[in-house]
Amino acid sequence: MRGLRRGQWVIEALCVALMCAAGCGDDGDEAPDASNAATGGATGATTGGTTATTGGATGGTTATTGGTAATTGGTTAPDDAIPYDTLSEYGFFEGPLHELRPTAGVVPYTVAAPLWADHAEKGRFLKLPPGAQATFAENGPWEWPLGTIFIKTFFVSLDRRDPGGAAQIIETRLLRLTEAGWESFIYVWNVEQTEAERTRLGERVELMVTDADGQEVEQLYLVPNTEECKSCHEIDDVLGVLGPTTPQLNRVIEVDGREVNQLAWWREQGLLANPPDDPAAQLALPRPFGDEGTLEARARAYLHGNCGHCHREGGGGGRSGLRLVWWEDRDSRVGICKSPVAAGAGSGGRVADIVPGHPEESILIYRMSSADPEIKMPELPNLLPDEQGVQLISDWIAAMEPEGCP
Amino acid sequence: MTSRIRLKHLVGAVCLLAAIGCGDSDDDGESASNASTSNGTGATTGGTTGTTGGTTGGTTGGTTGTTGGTTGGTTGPVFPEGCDVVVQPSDEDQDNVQLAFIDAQAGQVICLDEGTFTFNQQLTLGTDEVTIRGAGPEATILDFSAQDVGANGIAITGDGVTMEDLQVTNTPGDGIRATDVEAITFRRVHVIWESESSTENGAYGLYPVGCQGVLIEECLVVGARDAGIYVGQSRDIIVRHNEARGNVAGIEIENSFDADVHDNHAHDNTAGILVFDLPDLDQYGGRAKVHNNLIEANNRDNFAQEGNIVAVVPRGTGALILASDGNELHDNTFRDNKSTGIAIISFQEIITGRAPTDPNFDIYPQGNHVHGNTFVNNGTDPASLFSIVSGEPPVPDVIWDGCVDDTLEDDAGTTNCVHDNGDATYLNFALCGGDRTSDLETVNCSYDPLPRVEEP
Repeated sequence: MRGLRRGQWVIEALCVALMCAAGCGDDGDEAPDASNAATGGATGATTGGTTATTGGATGGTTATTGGTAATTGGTTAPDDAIPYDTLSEYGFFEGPLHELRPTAGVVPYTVAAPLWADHAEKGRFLKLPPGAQATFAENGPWEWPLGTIFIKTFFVSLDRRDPGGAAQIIETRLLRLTEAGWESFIYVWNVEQTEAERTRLGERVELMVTDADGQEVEQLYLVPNTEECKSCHEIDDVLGVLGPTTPQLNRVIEVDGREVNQLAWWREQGLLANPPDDPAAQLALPRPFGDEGTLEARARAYLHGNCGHCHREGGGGGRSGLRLVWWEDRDSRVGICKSPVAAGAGSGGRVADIVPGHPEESILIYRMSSADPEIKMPELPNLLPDEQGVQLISDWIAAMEPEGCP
Repeated sequence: MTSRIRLKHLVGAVCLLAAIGCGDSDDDGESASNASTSNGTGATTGGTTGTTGGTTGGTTGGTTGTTGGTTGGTTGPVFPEGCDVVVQPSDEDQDNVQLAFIDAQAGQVICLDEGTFTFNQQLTLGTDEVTIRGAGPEATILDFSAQDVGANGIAITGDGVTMEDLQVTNTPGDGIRATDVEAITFRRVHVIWESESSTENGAYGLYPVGCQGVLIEECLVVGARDAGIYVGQSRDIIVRHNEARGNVAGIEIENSFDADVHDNHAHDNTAGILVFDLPDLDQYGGRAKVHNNLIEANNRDNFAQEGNIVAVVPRGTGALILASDGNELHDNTFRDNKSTGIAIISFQEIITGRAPTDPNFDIYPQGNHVHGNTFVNNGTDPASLFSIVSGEPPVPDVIWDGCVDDTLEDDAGTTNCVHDNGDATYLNFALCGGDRTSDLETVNCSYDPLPRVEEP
């Protein structure tokens, strides 16, 4: 029934074209520069490794200019035309669109604990209205000026053995702050990677990728519909931004070859109305798969980034009683020896969300590992389990003492 | 690819114009198939709001909608009375219905025409004050057999939504879930899993959680692997004139306040009606008024997924109050439930299999009031738990574990009262110690009747 519908993309042929554009045979190149066409640009924007991204750095260069030039404004068309039919109309990027080379005032950023998105990497940008600044908050949401737009582009690596290699850009999601609150718009990229068109219904995109074993496999990638944005971004009935918070943004990035605290860099760029004096002293999430922070801290950072948007008070999963935000400090609310509520098949016959010492008896691991729509977590929109995430949370649970539940 | 998509919709729009231009005579849009559906979706006749497509614009659907809207005024007869938008079954049900939900504006009635709609993903409805109306629960079928994305058939996050006169079948997960909304109504909605007692069936049929103002009436739920009608962590609830059969629990009111559950028929489930309080949640519950229901032959073997609380409910249970306070069960008829009519049980690990660690949770069911009920032929072939506590069948009609909170100085308002239930038999099986007793005089007390719940 679910055959290929509107979203059918035959990627193989395209892949060849992209690889060539990106410089076929440059596989060994650790740092593709953004001048590489097609995937080079997209891939460059990935987070990856210990430093923030080649593309990010590239973008950073541009944005440095852009940041200072922000007050001069851009070439943006009148606001009342938003949402545009196509991504290019916003003027976020210059040069070939797929290079995601930000124009003046479009600032790349990255987060510590990103959401798993079926092997997709993301390029994140922020655009404040000319002359406007964000209001930093130590805890809780920041205040953003009207007209702020967050721009997140998802691209899937075509060879999972080479996450920095050739990739296909699938979608770009926008969140824009208006008088009526945040609005979400989604753009799906064409196969040629020259343009992205607005969709409200989302799309099923079929990709051919090379998996970790070198096998060609089909991957179904789901672009959500605009209603589904709310399933993650809505808290207490109000749409909001998730990533741009102090603990997520407070990390070291690389700009023009130097390492700098991201908040400090934003301060330098004049993006903050009330910059903290000592950004590094602010709340910070460790990177879940980085080499800093305890196992527990990294596990909790992962859960915050991947589950905490729903599993919090007022979030879609808040009614389960399971609270996976970074600051939750009650064991039972984090799931330790907590019985499921209305889990249905999701319990998997297990009696607690987390059984210390026993990931194999923990509902959390059962649901994170599943691809069954009735069982899997998160519910939407990913389709594939995050094996690395499952391993991290399993390691954390396995190390818990004392073992078992009363 | 993109260009092909556009072309397709363009063709659709042209078809609509042709159909309308050709003069309305012959069809109700059926021959126009997909095109008429998506166009119909965009078109409005209600007149209170403009065209839906126009406001969002920019996509193919919007374009089509605008076309439909422009001409909509002349096609009034195409739309059943009261419908602002009509969607018909086609090859594009997923897109057409979801688009209608996305485009819906407050106050609109979205009608799903007769026939079977098929879906492969969850439908999501986030707009407030929208009515989704079918042509009847046997006429408009929403078939989710092919669904492979989303944990619910339909997920509702808009306030003031009404769903009526339609059927949802074979969702892999829950049927229709409404989360944290004000005023949700299900009327003549059927949620059905066709496989009997299948472990593949979804957990909950009609599933409002965290809602203020719930009305569920004249609905039917069959085959839920947990609870057919499940109201969780909600307030001001009416559940009336429904039928629930073939589920593990027919109707379950959980951690909710002020539910008026009446004139329902719960039969052939594992248990008829459950009133539960569970730990580790932000809201506890109580004050369910369960009355004038027919609760019969709930003897189905439990097929719930283990780990869930309902998995411990013995087959043959008419009604079960677990840890919940201040409920009133009156004027119900309990018939042919082979374990017992009414059980009132505290949240004990020996029964639930889980030890509550929530310091704010009250494990004792207190202040419950059972009166005026009729019991016929219950407890004749009890499940093991009940035969253990009761001994030789028949198990009495009303049983209580007798556990009370010793830390309370005065038990006024905490004891459970059972009176005037005809010739009903009774047992306090003294799970927490003390003497077993069948003497109804020990529970011969009364509380003021709970008030009725007003419609939202």
